[in-house]
Amino acid sequence: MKIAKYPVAILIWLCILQVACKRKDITYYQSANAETYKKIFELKDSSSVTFPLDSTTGYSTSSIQYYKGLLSILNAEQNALSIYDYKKGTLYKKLKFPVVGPNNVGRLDVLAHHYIISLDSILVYNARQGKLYILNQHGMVYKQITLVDYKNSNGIATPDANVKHPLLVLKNILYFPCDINERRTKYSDLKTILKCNLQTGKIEYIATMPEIYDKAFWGEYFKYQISFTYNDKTENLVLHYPIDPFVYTANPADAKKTGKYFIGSEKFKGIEPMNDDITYPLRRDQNAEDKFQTLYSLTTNDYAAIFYDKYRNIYYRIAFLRPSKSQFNAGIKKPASSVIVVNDKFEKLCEVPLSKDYDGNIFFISPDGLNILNYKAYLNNENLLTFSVFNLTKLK
Amino acid sequence: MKKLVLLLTVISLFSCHTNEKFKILSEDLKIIDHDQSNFKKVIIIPNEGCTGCISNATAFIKENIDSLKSNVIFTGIQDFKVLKFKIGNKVLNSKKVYFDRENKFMQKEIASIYPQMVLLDDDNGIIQFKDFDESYFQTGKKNGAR
Repeated sequence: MKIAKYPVAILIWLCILQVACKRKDITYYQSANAETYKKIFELKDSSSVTFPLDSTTGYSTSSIQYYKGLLSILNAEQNALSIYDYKKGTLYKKLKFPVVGPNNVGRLDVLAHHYIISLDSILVYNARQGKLYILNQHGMVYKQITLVDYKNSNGIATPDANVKHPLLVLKNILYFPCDINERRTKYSDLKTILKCNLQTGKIEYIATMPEIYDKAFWGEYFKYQISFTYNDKTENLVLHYPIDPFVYTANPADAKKTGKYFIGSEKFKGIEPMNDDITYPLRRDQNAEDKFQTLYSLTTNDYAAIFYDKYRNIYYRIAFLRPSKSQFNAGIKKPASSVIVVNDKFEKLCEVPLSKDYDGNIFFISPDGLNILNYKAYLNNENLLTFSVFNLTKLK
Repeated sequence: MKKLVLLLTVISLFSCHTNEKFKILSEDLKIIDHDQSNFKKVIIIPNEGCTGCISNATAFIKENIDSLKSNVIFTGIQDFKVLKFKIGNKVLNSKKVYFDRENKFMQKEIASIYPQMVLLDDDNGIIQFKDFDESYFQTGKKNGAR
């Protein structure tokens, strides 16, 4: 009865409660350029290219590059680089790197990477040693640079490249994506691109992480891994982070951000953090395996990479559609991929989820289109590596 | 009385968990077409996770496959061709080795990012998971329990 006397006061109190209890949305999700856009294009599997594999080489690699009609694939197991003629689909050259002795690059592993600047300037990164080797086309090492000294690398991001976040070289300057290697209370002051002058060996770090990382805790280290690409027409870097729906244009000199663009997937909405408290991992034993963290990280969708296609003046942003918790618990760990295509103004053109026939972890761009590994074809014939070539076509 | 009920509930929950694990693993082991009595001790090696640990366990099995008194399961296999190359023909053709192409041993109850030793006690329905430890097979010492 008394309650009925004060309806306005109760209403105000309820409103205050509502506002106070409402969790701040830090996912920055928006419908425009995610679900809502003009759907007039599609990305179609239009042709394929095939390359022979020897009896000991599998389909997986940490490093792949298209360079002037050649396709180079690093085989860390064999300490070797296979270079194929892309059009002919034949082996052009195989460089076998010694583990010890003259011209050695040490024992490579799954974290190794390569980049062809020219056939007489091939970069090979040995992640175990933190060393970059520069070789000529005969495999002769003519220069080496230590990129990271693991004994004194506390607080510094660690170089870590793979197919989704490869190396970039512009005018003899190497841009190397890095992993965070410690948990912090603030990330927006941490720089995660290692920039190295290949002439002088001078190293500096650029590209601070976006502020979204200061707002919560997002799980395993790979959720913090930068991916970037270079647009040679605008002469801008474009930076991408796994849990951030925005991408950022930046100046290559210092990676200062010059623009911010939302590119979302239509397959999921905002990415929720694992914990609202950024200090969550600092409050527990960091050497102990956190199964909940693993489960969260491998079952929460994210963005995997961004690539500029200079032949068509478009970008591809790869989203990872991760298995549900029940699928994960049943043994399905691998995410499916969804390819988002945007134009040079970052306006969404289409999004295509890839079937399980393709491996969205292994791809490259050639003048023919976006080449994605056809896993099903490999399972049918383990002696051939087949890439399906995807092209943008207008919907009829 | 309330405390006793709570305690019994907690104990029941834990025992159910162990039995569930045992049941899943025992059922899955039955799909392997070998003598069931062998599967008192099993080494499970995942494809991905702790790279160094997996390489070391794989190398140990390759070197000791003849004398190994345990069965081995390779799970989470992405590229069978590469795995064959890594383990060699002897391990590939050994009756002690099972290749889990359907990833049954990648289930939450069993999977780990580390190679594991699994000890089964059929009579009591007990299962023990331990980190893979070479010395266990060399000396019989029960190390690495977790």
